[in-house]
Parts: sequence; structure tokens; C-alpha cells
Amino acid sequence: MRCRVNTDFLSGFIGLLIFALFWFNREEWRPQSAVWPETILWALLGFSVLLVLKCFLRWQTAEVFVEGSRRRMLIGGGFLILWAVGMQILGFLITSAVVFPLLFAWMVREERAISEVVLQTVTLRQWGVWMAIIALEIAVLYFVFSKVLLVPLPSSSLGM
Amino acid sequence: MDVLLAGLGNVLSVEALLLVALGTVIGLFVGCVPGLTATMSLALLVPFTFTMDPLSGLVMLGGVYTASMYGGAFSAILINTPGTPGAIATMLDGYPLARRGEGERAIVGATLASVFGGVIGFLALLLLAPVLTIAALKFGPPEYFWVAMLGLALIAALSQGMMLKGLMGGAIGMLLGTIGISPVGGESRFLFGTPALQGGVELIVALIGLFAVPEYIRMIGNARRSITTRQDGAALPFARVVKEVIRQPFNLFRSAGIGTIVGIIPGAGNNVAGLLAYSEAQRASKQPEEYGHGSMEGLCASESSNNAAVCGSMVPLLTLGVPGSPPAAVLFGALMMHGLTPGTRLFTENGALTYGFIFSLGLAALALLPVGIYGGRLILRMMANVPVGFLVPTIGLMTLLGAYSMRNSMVDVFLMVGVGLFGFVLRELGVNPATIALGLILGPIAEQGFSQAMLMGRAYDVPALALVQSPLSIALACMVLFSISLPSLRRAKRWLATRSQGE
Repeated sequence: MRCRVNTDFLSGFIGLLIFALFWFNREEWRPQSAVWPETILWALLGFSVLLVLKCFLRWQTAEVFVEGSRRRMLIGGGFLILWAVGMQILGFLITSAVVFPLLFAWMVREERAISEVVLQTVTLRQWGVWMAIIALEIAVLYFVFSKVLLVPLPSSSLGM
Repeated sequence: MDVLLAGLGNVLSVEALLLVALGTVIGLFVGCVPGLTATMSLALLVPFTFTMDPLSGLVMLGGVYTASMYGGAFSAILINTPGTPGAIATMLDGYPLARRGEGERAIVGATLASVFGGVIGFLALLLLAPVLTIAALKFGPPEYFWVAMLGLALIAALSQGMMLKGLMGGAIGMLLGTIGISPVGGESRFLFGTPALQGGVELIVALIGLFAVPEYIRMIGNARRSITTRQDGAALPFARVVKEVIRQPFNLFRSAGIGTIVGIIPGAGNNVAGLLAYSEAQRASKQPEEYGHGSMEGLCASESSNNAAVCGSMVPLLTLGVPGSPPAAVLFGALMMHGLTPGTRLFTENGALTYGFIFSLGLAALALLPVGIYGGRLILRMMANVPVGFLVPTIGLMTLLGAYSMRNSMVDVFLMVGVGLFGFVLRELGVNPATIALGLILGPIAEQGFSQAMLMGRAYDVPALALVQSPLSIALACMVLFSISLPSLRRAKRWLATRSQGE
């Protein structure tokens, strides 16, 4: 399905939304703190309005999200959000141990669907090797960040 | 002269050379992982140097600092994500080169330019430190404001044909930069009910979001790697890239000069250095239209400049005791820990040690050549051969870890994901994410300079006059005006040429 939109209008509209978001979150600041953000906000409003007006003067549409599959992009974005939320609730280790192999398996399936180079049949042994590499990668990163760099990675109630 | 030679002698020992090599390898690793910063690694390594003699400790730390700035170029070229903020301009041309199968050329070019910049910065530190210190003292709030404006003029170049969208992106970036404690008034701004935002939007978190997340999504969308290698699989002739780089001496010297000068200005940092040098290189180029599409000139300008800024930031640290950047602040602590007080007396009381440290920075710059070339080729081959099924989750994992590790906060992780998805949509709509990054980097510098200049200007009837009160600020303001009007002047020149041909 092709997706053609007026990019000037949409980007101007997003600019106006951001303007509103920040404008209505201003507080009673002293002039030294207020002058700069307010100047930027007025500038943002000006650029956004000009973009919206431009689309009325010359209506042009362009195709967006043309590079690659939109379905895959959406699922990929979903995986990232899931990973972040999972880290918050279940901790780094458990979430990564679940999401990484899932994303890997899905990517292998998708890659096989479009590429002739990738093996069309994957043996159980190959899966075993891949899972071992994934486990090693997660363990090494966990060790480097938590034990060497002393970054207290998010943990679950199970203490992992 | 005796202390200078004694310093050189100290650093030419086997132990010191090994420590330079070790520091370079550590720095390279730190630099190429987005989220691991030079400041973090130096802070972690300082306690380990406590048992070493002062020179050995400082030599290793200097190697880490130098190499981590250079290492940022690897991730910028290979995964479109600057490993350090200084590599943001490197990414603009390095990644397009890698996408069209010229990743090796980009890495070798970036390495050579980095070595050149590092050596020029080292020579400036060694020979011109007192003069440069005087120049650094001339930079006050108005000059900071104009330097930031000069960098922001790059928006015009980054948004070819879509100026309004570029300006909007810059404004969004500057707005993101106002989140947190106000630099002059000290009040909290735009916290949206989240106290964790008091520290503002961490630059690396935003950069990971703006560049790594779209790359991750794009790779998933295509289900294949974004970069390719040479079809024949043969190694690129090294001499060819050397020739290509040394054929642009003006670009390299100008960029290294900009890097050194920006480096000595406390607070500006190597990200500003890279952006300014890139902007100036484009302005002076005979092929400005190639910038952003894989220009070797742009890549060399950025790398030469951000590596020269490393030694530049050592000038105020060693001569005045004022650290010019966060990593320099950690080095300040390391010097104090070893009983050395930075300042003019450092050169007279501990001359051999101080010059030894300066020479080690030069050696570290040279060490980038073998380590960078071999390390870069290795990473490139790995990137080109690892199945995309591994690459995608690894990038996802590194973005999350990188964002989290900046302040050990999940707020940063969600911020990174949000900024990333938002940046991806905006990119599809024609807003270059680099303009948002530019606003975020330079906005706070411009605000601080502007607000402080306005406070200084209270003595005048028109406070804004404080912005143009010194010859340096006037010169910088003229450069900003020239930068902004240059695209229009070029268009007018082309129009006149076409018109005269028509007649």
C-alpha cells in the first residue's frame, strides 16, 4: 500500500503540537530563565505556521516510508518499546534473555523470506549454536556493564 | 629545552609506549560504543593509576582520552550513530560512504585525518600553549554566543532545499536543550512532572535516539544490512586513500586549527569543533553539494578538527588549571591525585613530567594509525559478515544499554526510544535529524552566552550591544552573517551567470 502525504503540512502540524506541548508547560519563571525558551517557542511557531501555509500555496504530496516493509518497521518499533518496558518491570537480564532470541528468530524468518542467500532450512544444531552465542553476548554485556563499569543495571523483583 | 628533552626521554621508555598502546585500545573500544563516554572511562581508570608513577598513569589516561574521541567515528561511519558527540559531523558523510560500499575508504580517511588533527593539536599544545591561553581568555559570553550561532548556520547546509524544515528541526533541538535547570536563572524548566528531567536531556541519549533507532528500524524494514563491502572482497589500497587525504592540505590545516582553538575554549568541546570545521569546509569547498552525500572532505574536516580539540582542551587545563571539557576535568582530578597542581607552575616545578604527558598525547595520536586501521578493518568485516538477525537485536540492546548507562536511569531509556521514534517519523517527513542534534548541542551554549551577555549589557542603554562590544565578537558576528547569506549569494551568482549566458 502506497502512503502519500503532504510532508510540509504534517511537519508543520507536528511543529505546532510541540509548540503547544511546551507553551502550556511554561511556569512563572524569572526573565533570565524565560527569555530564551520563549524566543525559541515563537520561532518554532513561526516556522510551523509557514510550513502549513506553504502547503496551501503549493499542494505537493510525497511518498513516505518507502524504504522497506512498513509492517516490519512497526513490529521492530514495537520490539524496542517492549524491550524498554520489560527492562523496567522484569529487569535487564530476564527481558534481554526473552526479547533478544525472539527478535533474532523473527529476523531470521523475515530475512529468509526475502533473501536467497540465507539458509532456507535451519537445523536444530544451528539454532542451538545461535542461542548459545546470544546467551554469551548478553552475559558478556551484563558483566562489562554491571561488574566492570559498575552500572547498576535494572533488576527484577527476583533480583536478576 | 632541557625539561622538554627530559619529557621526551621519559615517554620513550618501553613501559610508557606499552601504556600508550593499551590506552589507545581501551579508548577505541569506549569511543565506538555509543553510551560509553571518555569521561566515564577516565573516571573508572583514575583509581587504577593511583599505584602507578604519575607519568605512567597520565600517559595511559591521555591515550584513552585521545583514542575515545577518534573511536566515535567507527560507529558514526558503520551504524550512523556517533559514538561520541564529536563524531556527529563525521557521520554526515561517513555513513553515506559506508552505504555505497566505501566503508573502508571512510575509516582509513577518518583515521588519517584524526592522526593529522591529533598531531597538529599536539604541536600547538607543545609550542603555542602560552599564546593560546591568551586567546582563550578573550572568549567571553558574547563570543560563546556567536560561536554557537556560527555552528547553527550549518542548518542551512544540512537542509538543502528544505530550509523551513531544517529551521524547525533546529528549533525543536534548541527547545529540547532548554529542558532542565536554567543555566542563568537556576529555575527548573519543562519537567513535565518528571523530576529526573532536572538534569536536562542527556546529549548522548538524544543522539542514540535520533540516529541509532532510525537505523535499527530501517535495518528491520529492509531485513538486510545497510552497509556493503567491496564486491571483489579485496582490501582497499592504503596509498590511494593517503593520496586522497593529503591532497586537501588547506582543509586539514584549517580544520585542525579550528579544532585547536575551539578546544581551548572551556565548555565548547569537540562536538562544536567538528561541526564548525565541517561547516567551514563546506563553505570553502568547490563541491559543496557533495557534503552530506559521502564527501571525503567533510569527513576529514570533522575528524581532523575533533581530534585536534583533544590537545586544545589540555591548554587551559595545564596552563590555567581550567578544564576545557568533562574528560579534561577528570584529568584535572588525576593530576591533583598525583600531587600535581595544574597552572603555570606546573611547567616550572614539574616540567619533565608535564612535557612527558604532552609528548604522550602526540604518541597516542600517532598510535591511532595502526590501531585504527587494523581495528577499523576488523570491525568493518564483522559488520559486513554478521547475520542481520544478530545485528539488529545487538543494535537494539546497545541503544538501551547506552541510554541507561548515561545516568543509570530508565527515564533516559524511554526518552531515547521516544526521541528515536519521533526522529524517524520526522526524517520521513523531510526534517534532517542532524538539525535537531545541532540545536540540542549548540542551543545551551548559545543560551548561556546570550543570557550572560544580556546581564553584562545592563550597563548600556541597549543591552544587546553587549553582543558586539569586542573586536572578536564583531568578527564572529560578521562570519555568522556571511555564513547565512552565502547560499543566497551563491544562488544570485548562478542566476547572474545563467542570465549572462542566455543573453
